[in-house]
Amino acid sequence: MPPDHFSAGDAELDFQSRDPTFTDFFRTKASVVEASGFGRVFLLKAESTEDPPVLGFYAICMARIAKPDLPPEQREGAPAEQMPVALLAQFGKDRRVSAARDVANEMMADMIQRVLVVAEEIGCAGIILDTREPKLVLRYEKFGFRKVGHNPSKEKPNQKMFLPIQHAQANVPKNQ
Amino acid sequence: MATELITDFEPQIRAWYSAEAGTNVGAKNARIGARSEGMVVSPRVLDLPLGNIETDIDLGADGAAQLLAMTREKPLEIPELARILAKYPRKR
Repeated sequence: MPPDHFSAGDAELDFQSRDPTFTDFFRTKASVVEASGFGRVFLLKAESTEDPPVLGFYAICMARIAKPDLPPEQREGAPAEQMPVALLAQFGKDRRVSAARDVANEMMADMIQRVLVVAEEIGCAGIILDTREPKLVLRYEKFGFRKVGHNPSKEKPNQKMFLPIQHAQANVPKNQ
Repeated sequence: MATELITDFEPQIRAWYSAEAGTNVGAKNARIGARSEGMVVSPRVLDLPLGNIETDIDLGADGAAQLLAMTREKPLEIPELARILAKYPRKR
């Protein structure tokens, strides 16, 4: 089964991430985000009892990129003061899931296709994410995300990455 | 305090915000309250529970220009992306 909406009771499922903040989000914030309607959380649940109950999950919501102080020639063709984007706010798997499982790829494909629907219906410049792990930059680059902006903070060395919506659209198989 | 962000709004909105929004843990109620006044209020302004998700993203002028330029690129073929989209189609 593909990833599905986080629902009542899912926070009680045994999910364990290597990152405690990610686990905490699952247990204490995911249900609130989902209930608020301002964001959505999707779970990929196990189909076998040999796996942990939740293989992975992601959270996504709309966000906006400010265009401060851009010179006029760069603003041309982008009339809005803010650019609407989809924000991949949380993305990860249970630490007990084997690396051989295709969990991240399945969730990434699901997430991108959901955003493509949003883009078709109301417009969206692309997908932005924020990663703290340099090794994940390489993984996201394989899916077409590219580094954008920079963060000089050594305490919180996050790297924002962006996938323009036209690149995502161009890679959907023609028969879909 | 998020309350300070709302001081430019109408008095009745300020009153609602001060009296209810801070203690109202029901995000739906907060959103309905804002909409009932015909306003569009971002989750950030109302300090609603999106966890620590920051939905106003400031990339700075260089970063914003870089992102804007990316939105104008011609569509690219990305083999790994095409592969996973084919393997995991939307409707299964």
